[in-house]
Amino acid sequence: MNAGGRRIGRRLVAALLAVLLVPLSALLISGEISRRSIDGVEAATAQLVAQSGETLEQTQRSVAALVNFNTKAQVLGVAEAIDLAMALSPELIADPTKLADEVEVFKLVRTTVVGRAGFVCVADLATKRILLHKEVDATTLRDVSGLENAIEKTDLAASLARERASVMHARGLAGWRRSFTYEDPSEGGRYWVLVPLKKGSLLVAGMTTRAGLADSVEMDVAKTVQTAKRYLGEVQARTAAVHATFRATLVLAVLLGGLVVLGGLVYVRRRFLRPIGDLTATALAVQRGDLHVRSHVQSKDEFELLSRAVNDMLERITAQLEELERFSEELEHRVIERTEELRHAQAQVLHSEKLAVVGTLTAGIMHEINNPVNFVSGATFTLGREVARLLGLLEEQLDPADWQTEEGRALRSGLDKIGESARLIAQGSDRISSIVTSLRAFARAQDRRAVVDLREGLDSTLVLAQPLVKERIVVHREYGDLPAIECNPGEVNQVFMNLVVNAAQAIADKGEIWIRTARIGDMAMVEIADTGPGVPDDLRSRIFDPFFTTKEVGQGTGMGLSICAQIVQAHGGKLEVGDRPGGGAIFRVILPLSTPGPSTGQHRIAPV
Amino acid sequence: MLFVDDEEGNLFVAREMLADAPVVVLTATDGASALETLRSEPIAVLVSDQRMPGMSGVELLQRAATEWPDTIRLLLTGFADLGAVVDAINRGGIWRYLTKPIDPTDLQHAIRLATEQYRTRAAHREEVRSLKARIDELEARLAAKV
Repeated sequence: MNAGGRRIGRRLVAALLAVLLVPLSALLISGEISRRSIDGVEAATAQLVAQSGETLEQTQRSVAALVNFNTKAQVLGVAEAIDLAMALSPELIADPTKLADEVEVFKLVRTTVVGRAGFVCVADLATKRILLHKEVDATTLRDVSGLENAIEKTDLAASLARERASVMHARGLAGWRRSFTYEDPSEGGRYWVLVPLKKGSLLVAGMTTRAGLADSVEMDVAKTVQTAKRYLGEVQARTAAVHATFRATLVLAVLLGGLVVLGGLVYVRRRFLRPIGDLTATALAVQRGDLHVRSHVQSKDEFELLSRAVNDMLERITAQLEELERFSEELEHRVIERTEELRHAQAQVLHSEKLAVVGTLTAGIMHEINNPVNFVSGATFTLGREVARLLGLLEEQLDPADWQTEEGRALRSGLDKIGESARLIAQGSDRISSIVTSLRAFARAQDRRAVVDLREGLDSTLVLAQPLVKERIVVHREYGDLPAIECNPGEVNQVFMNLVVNAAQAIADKGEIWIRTARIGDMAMVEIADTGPGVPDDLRSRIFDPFFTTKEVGQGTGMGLSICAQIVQAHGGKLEVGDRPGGGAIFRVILPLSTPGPSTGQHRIAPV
Repeated sequence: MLFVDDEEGNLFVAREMLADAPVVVLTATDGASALETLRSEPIAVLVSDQRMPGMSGVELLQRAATEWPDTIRLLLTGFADLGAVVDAINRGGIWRYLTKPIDPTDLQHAIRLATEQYRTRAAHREEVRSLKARIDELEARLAAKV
């Protein structure tokens, strides 16, 4: 996440820099361009000023010269003119070779040597001495031969002339190192410029006019004005260019800046606002409770990381919620199951406690009943015996005739009735005795296992169930071969009692009950069938459920068959229900002949 | 013989049932008077109920076993849980266990057998006694000779 944090930080900084720097640099660049243009304008202006100044100076000088000429030309000799020329431009004279190459030389000469009169002079530049000076008129000056003649009059010139006379003749001033002819068409003036023959000496010849001079000044001024105009135009053009550049730059900078800001906004929106929006929408949806919403940021930065983290989190939360739901459902299911089991167990505990109380009560009652029954039955024995003995004694003592008398018949009848009563009392006490004995089978060893004959248990059950059966039901005992089995007799008898009572109650009026026993392999089978209405198919799966009953409220607990099934299962057997051929139900108890494992009779409560 | 029961009716019935038997039937209604009778009369057979006020049948039989071991002891009860029966056998050393209501024939039969048992034991004891006396005598004679 740290690396991600740095990355988003860098992006932010880059975005900010881009937003700030691009317009800034555009401004800087445009500034530089402007600065340079302005520099150019300044330079041009300076140049213009310099040149204008120079031209102005020149013009001033020309004007001054013109003024000077007007005042001095008449008095100055050529020598003085030369001196003047020298003084005006000493450096040009210093290097005549250079001087000769320059157009200015001509100008110098021309401006210096003024007047209609012409002159020819040869000066030694080294010594600044005029070697030859001859005033010539214009005609002479224009006449080359005349000039030659003038030159030939000097020694130096004579030798020179001899040397190059033919050339000079042919080309005018041929033989000179260089010569220029300047013609001014507008003036009709014609000037020669003679450049030095050799170093140190200069031949200057020239002829000009005053008009020409003035023209020249005018021309200079016009030239200056023209130049100034040119430069001014240039300056204006350059300034305009600078302004245009500046404007363009400004517009460009503004455009660029706007573009960059716009780009920055778009970038920020795409990079930051949109992911944040998406994440916020996701978070709000989650807050509303929609856990199936997912964030879809694909920005390859920490927003995507965050988005993925949020999605992962949501996945986990959803999974956990689902698991929680499943768990709670399962829990609920288990609670229901457990409640059912507990109800079952509670019912069984209640039932067991009831049985235990009944057992204890039975034990006490049996003792209390057996004592009187003991002496009632014992007394009938004595009574019968004594009646018999009394009869015997009377038989001995009385004549047969005496028995025929009314008293005799009454005596015999009374004694017979006493004997009969004794027999009836004995019979009744026998019945009481057998009921008590059967009760004992139930009360005995409620919690103990024993090896017992199931048929005895069935007999005891039938004795106790006698009141329900009476004369309305015929009970068929079809006992097959059955070895004694190991079981909890109290519990097993309870099962039989339940089934017999159910069978008897199922028969509304008169009917029959069959009780059969058989051995099937290593299992004992007891079958109790009745002629009642039978068990409907749709109830068959429920009749062994706790609290299920078809009896009226208050008539049955609905626990009987459920507990029977539990007891039989605890013995490792099973309890089945079926249809009796011909109508009615068959309940079948199947028990193993011997139950493996420790047998303490504590199976009644199903393991929970 | 001595018959012990807190119910007079049972004592009457017992006497009547054994009226023809060759035994003298003494009765007691509780443990204390039964012990008195045992001290004053030689008793061959003792039949006791289990549940009685004061002293239980097992207790009486236990004491009788200690003081009069030759007497044949029986327990006759309307109902006995397994613990009472076990006690009667282990502590009271009973010979038979009878249940109420008792059949007269069963009682007569049991008493006859008990009496025979007592007689047999008495005979054995007499025989042993005489044999011992004989041995003593013979040993004395042997000692005299030696």
